[in-house]
Amino acid sequence: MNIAIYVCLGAMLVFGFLSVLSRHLINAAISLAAVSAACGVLMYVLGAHTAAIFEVSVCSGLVTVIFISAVSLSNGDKQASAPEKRAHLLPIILIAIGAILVIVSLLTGFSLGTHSTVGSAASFDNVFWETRQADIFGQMVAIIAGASAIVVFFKESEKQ
Amino acid sequence: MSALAVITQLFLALPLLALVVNNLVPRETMRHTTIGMSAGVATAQLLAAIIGFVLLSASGESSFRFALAWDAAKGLGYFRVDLVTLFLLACVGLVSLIANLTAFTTIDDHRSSFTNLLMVMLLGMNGMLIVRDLFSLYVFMEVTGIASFVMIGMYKSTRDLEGAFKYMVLSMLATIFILTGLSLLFIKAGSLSFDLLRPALFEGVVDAKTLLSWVALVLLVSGYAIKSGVVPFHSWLPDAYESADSAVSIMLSGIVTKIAGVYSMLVLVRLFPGNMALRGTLLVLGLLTIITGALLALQQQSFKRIAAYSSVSQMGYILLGFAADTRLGIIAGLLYLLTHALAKTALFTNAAALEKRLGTLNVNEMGGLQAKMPVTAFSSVAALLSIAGVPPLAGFWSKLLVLIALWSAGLRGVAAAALLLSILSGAYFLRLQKKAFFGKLNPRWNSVVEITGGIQVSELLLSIATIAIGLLFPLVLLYLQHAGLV
Repeated sequence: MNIAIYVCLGAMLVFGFLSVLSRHLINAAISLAAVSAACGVLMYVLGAHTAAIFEVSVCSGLVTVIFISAVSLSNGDKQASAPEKRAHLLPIILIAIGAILVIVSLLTGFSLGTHSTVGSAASFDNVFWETRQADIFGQMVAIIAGASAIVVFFKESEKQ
Repeated sequence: MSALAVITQLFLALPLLALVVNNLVPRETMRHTTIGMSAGVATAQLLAAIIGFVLLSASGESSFRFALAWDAAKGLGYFRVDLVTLFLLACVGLVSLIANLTAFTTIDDHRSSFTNLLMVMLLGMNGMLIVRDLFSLYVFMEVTGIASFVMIGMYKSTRDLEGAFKYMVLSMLATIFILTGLSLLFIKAGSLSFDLLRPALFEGVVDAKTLLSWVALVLLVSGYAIKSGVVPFHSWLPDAYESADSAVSIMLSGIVTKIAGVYSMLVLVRLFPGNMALRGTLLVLGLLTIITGALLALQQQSFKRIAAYSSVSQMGYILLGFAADTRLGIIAGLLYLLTHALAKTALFTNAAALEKRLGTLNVNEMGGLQAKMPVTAFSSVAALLSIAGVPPLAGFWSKLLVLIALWSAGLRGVAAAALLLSILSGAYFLRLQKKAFFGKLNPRWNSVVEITGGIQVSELLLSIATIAIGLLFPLVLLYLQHAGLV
């Protein structure tokens, strides 16, 4: 169990690194899909089965298809491959800070602990339609906001 | 169904309805109609919040729970309003109304999505004010954020997109901080509901689990500080305000940063009263913000940038009010939020008028404009005096309340420092007024005439409100005390 968790976390880190540093948009999108897939497996291992299915199907599947379609339609991948200065140092520094924090926490025996009621027996229906109804409403409005953003940036003309 | 139950439904139903209607009409040819509808929604929200405030205070209850209409029958109550949130909902309605009045003049016919985005922004802020859970608060904060990015970059010029991009990147950082903070708090408390989070989370010796709560608090405060644009997280704010259309700047400066950032900090203050670390952080952030914002405002040449850095600076006084951590301090902070929203909205409305008539916002190119634009000059001076804390304008009373709250909470040094620092506000605004409206008229502006229409109505409305609230402030305070807010 623990090995699976560490493997998933490592995979997320490596693919996350690749998606930020890749010069090709399609490679970046595929790396991002791999991050989501690893995250989905991690969620499944930790017992959040429904969330894992959503993560893999939506973030790893649907979103990647949309990304790749958009890149193919706009020829963005070719444009992005032009040589340019990349900030390689920042992700390395961030990863180094993360590694130091992990080592310090392991050495000092720091533990996040677990809460017994987290992810308790509440059914999916109960969570989706009752307890988190406010969030679902918020997500619906966020989708409308996203649709409005697409209209503004791709349909409306520039300032006259 | 009680009157309050009907009124509370309006905060979500009206913007949603306006969104649907706006997408059914041919918007390019009916821009004025759709903006008028949006102004109607804002007015209705202002009135609904005021009536709700009166009804709730008369009922003697501290809060009112409700749900979306189709869930209310099931007895669910995942939303809640109290006197504080109704007060803020009224502020949202007021600033949205002014933004719409300005939009009649500033938004061109090709910006048909303006009303859509404004309604989404309204839904986001209303949602933040009525939820009962820190995660739901975050969800609606993101909704407000998405609408803000798009509205800033709406005209797609390089400057607009740069402003939107900066805001988006820093908002992503805020998202990382907030989500990590929420995760840690969830691990510790097992819930993010306002009803279940208790100050006890931070009690006891500094062991690993208590440390977790402290780290969560630091991350949450940092995330909310980015959203409110306080120093040292302010770098996105002037660019975003300057590049956005004036109607959008009015929303951002007048209310969005206050609800997305400052209200979220108020939620933490109300959830964890007496938390010394939170109090200390707000004090430091508040003082740093007042000084840095004012010093940066002194160096700017653009009318909008001066107003933007002034927003940064004034945000510090609101934080100081909350940092007093007393009932009076919270009320002082809220009243400061209202009076600052009035004055800053007036200044951005003035910016819209100047941009429309002169085509520039560089104060060095202005001069003597009070002869040509007397209403704009009067409105600008009233706003300046209010922000600087000159009696008897509204800003004087709210600043006085913040200082009294700090003094009575034992923070006398901070109160004295805040009083001295208000001189800086006077300094940058005197410079602005002198360069823009007084002195010799620049011959370039001989043919300039006063702005008319929605912008002029807004300028007059805001000036009257600033003066009237100032003159009637003792009565306003008495009413709020009677209602139970004070």
